[in-house]
Amino acid sequence: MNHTQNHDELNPEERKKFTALSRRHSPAATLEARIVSALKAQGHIQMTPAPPIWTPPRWAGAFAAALVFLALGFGLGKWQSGTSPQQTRHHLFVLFLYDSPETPPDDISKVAEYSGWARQIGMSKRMISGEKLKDGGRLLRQVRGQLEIREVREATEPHVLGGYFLIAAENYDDALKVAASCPHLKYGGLIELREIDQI
Amino acid sequence: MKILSKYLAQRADRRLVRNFLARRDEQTFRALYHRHTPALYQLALRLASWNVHEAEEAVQDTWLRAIEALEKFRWESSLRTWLSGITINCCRELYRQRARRSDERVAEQYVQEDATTNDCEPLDLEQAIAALPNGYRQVLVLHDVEGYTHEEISRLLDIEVGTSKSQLARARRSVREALQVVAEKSANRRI
Repeated sequence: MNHTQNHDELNPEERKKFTALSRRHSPAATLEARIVSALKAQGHIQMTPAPPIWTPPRWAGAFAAALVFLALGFGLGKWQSGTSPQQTRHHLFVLFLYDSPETPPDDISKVAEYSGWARQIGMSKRMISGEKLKDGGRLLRQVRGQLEIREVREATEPHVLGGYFLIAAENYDDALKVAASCPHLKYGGLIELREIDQI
Repeated sequence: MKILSKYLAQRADRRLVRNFLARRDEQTFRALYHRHTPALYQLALRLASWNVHEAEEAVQDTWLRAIEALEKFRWESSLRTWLSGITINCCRELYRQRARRSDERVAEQYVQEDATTNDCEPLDLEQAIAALPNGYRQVLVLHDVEGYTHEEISRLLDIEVGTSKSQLARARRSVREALQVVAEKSANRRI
């Protein structure tokens, strides 16, 4: 039997149908977490995040030009005495960095301070990533079935989300230490610290 | 251009694998996962006749086996081809388990998911592929959907090149017959 006979080949119309077949299906989001957990349990992935290959984000200087300092709820003494990092398992935290409208002009000398901080956190194997967010965000919500979209006005909002750092820490108190050492606070920024819920 | 993009993709794979083996870190694994899982999952879905649970199981087993064997991977094929080979083996094992359970749910979930589609032709083709016997379906999916050559399929499925060609010819004939039935039914409805 000659398997290369013409009638066994796809004609152009059939080929088109095969090309048009969907490739858009994705597995459930939980699959990734299941696989990572299984690989950790088998020892193929380290429980502790590896030393990151990390460079300070370019926006560090922009935060140094941060705004009027809004009330921060960080009680430094409180956590410094209460920390006992006995756990070996690392948790992931996000530091959301907010600006306020009264941002002082950029000061290049502060860039080095941000970079030094970021490098220090990176060397302690805690920094995973950090990114600046562009201006011009929008808030979306649905009101009585209608989509409402509102511009985030940097000039009038009390806090504007400007960027984030993703870090690994032993526990919340440990992450709080890292957040409190960020120079963003010194220059009037606000930081919200949240732990990632690794379901 | 295609060769360049393939080259760049392989170079990125090599870098990620090298970094992962050196560090065994979650971040690099996730990068590998995101690069290859969509394609592996799509392949597994078709090989498993759109059984979502089996496809996910196959993808999970693929990564567990691949990471365990990654140090031994010699780059004699692309990483994607190697991973696809593991996915195919996982799917074949699942066929055998399914056969033991006599638990066939051919195309059920796919039909549910895409029931509202306007263009029925790709769906009919998917159903025709899903209804093929396992051997035919594997060769047809790998050749006509995924674009592998008979030589590659021969290595992936551990069969002769001639077997791959004959399975493909029979698979195409079966698909054409199934599509013909659909077309005739559709014509009768219009009359």
